[in-house]
Amino acid sequence: MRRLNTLALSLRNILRRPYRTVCLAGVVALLMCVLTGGGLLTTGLRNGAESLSGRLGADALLVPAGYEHEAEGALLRGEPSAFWFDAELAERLMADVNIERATPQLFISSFDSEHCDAKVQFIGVDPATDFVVSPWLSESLPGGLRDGDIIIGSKITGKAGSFLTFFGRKYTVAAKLAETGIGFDTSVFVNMPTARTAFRDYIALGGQGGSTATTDAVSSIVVKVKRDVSLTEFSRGIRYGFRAENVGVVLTKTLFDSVSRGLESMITVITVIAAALFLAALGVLAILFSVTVNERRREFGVYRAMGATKIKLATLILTESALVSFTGAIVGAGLIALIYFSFDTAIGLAADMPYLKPNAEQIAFTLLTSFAVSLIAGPLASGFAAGRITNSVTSVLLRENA
Amino acid sequence: MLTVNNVSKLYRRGGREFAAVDGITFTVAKGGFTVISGHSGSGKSTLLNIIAGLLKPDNGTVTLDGADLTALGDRELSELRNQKIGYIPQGHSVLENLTVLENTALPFYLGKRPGGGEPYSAAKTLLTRMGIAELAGQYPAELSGGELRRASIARALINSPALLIADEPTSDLDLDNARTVMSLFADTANSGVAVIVVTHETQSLEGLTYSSIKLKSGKED
Repeated sequence: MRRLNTLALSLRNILRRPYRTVCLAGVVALLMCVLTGGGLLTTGLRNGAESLSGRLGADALLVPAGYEHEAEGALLRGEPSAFWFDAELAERLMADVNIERATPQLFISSFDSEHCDAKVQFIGVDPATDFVVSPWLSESLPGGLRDGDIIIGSKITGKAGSFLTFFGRKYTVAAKLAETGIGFDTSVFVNMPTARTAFRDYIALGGQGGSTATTDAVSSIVVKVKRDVSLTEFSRGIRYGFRAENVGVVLTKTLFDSVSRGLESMITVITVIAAALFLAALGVLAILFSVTVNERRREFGVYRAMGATKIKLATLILTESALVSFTGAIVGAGLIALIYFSFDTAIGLAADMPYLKPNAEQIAFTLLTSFAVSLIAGPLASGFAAGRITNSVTSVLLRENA
Repeated sequence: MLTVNNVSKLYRRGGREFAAVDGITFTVAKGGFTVISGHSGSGKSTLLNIIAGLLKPDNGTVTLDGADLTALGDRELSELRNQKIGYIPQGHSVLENLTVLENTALPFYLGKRPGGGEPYSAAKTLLTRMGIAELAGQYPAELSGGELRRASIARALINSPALLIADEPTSDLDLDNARTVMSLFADTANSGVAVIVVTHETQSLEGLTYSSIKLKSGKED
């Protein structure tokens, strides 16, 4: 025979009204989904911002005026873009007195056709002068980039040793980068000679704007400004000094600040939604528990008449609500796991901001935290009803529906 | 064994105070069968609730085996109710989500049991004594009113109480069932348990030996 302890009695009670139990657990499951989903999204965005910060080792990007937005799109979201400086202008820009270090990059947008295996952003870097990309590229490829080799971003299909075709030419995948959460995940990195070859193919295949470019063109100059020069001063100097050549300046600090502001706004929205839902769920649960407890006033009176203490009665009610919460939280965890792992890539894209998937530890932490909050929601919501019933006069409870 | 001494309970209705129970005094010895009767509103249930420790009187004391119920805190009073008082409330009180056998065993699990043990064999014996052993595995929804009442009596006896209290135990039963239930109370009293039954009808008590307390407007008539 089964021992009729508090847990066994609570289980019997919640199973007695399956529809109501499902409704109560459903509210907790929804709460769990929102808290976990919000937590994972927030963590992913923070990771993305941190990744961006760690990879923006430069102070500014110099690009043709009017292409600042494209440069940001390429950097943040990997949007394929193509714009160029003359080599001669690039040389003059890199020689600016306010610059401590400078390195050129060449952006080529691959085609969405049979000539290219994927629509990506080709980024040519100069290993001799590069101080931004090479340090973390070397983590994936310690020997450095050889001519004809490509390093592909994490979201590009392919693996080290495989071959990918771009602009009608086959390239060897030397390495695949770890996920960064920014535009580099859909970018292909090559050294400058390889980039020049690709650029010639691009022009030969009639790539957009290619007719106006020379094969030694560069797309942007990545700059580290001298310590004693302010970024505003540098920016103004470039714009004024090269006003005839139409040079645009993208300050990475401004870019990062903009991302940070967007991130903070999004985190605020997510937090407000989660907090509002938590309160709404508490309210709904409190009403449902209150109704349930009210309907059972006589039953609780019978428990008291049989010798149950007030504490025993409160424990019974709180255990019932904790079991409902536990069930809801488990269902919610399963649901959100299903949703999150099915659509994690789409979630990152929908965020339209740097987004780096949370790692296993972060996922576990978010799940556990949300689980704990969801678990206490039930007992918290039923606390008032439990307090009210335990403080009722037993003889009055026994008169209900007698 | 049970001493009710000058117990009063005041209520306020429509701005006026009235005594639901007014200076009641009596004793019930071990094995005594006492019937409290009276018209509706005479204060029977209020008095019974005070004796069971479910309601605090405004005046007087209730002493069971030397313990003053009116002076005990919730924990001690609950423990005493669990160990020494078997209470059968008015109307159906068998819990729907437990079988008859589990209902009978339930009070065993609501109190402190330092020695452990299990109540199910005693519960089965009680159900046999009540004549409903074959219903042990049934749920209350499948039982008749008389069977439910007998299940309530079995449950009230599971912890071998010194005092058994029943509030209108025959109110919704036909005369045959009511007589059966009252006979069970008389048998219980004969086994050494002090029994107090509140009822507004005495027809079902014909042929039984019992002490009678008649109440009228809260006072002994």
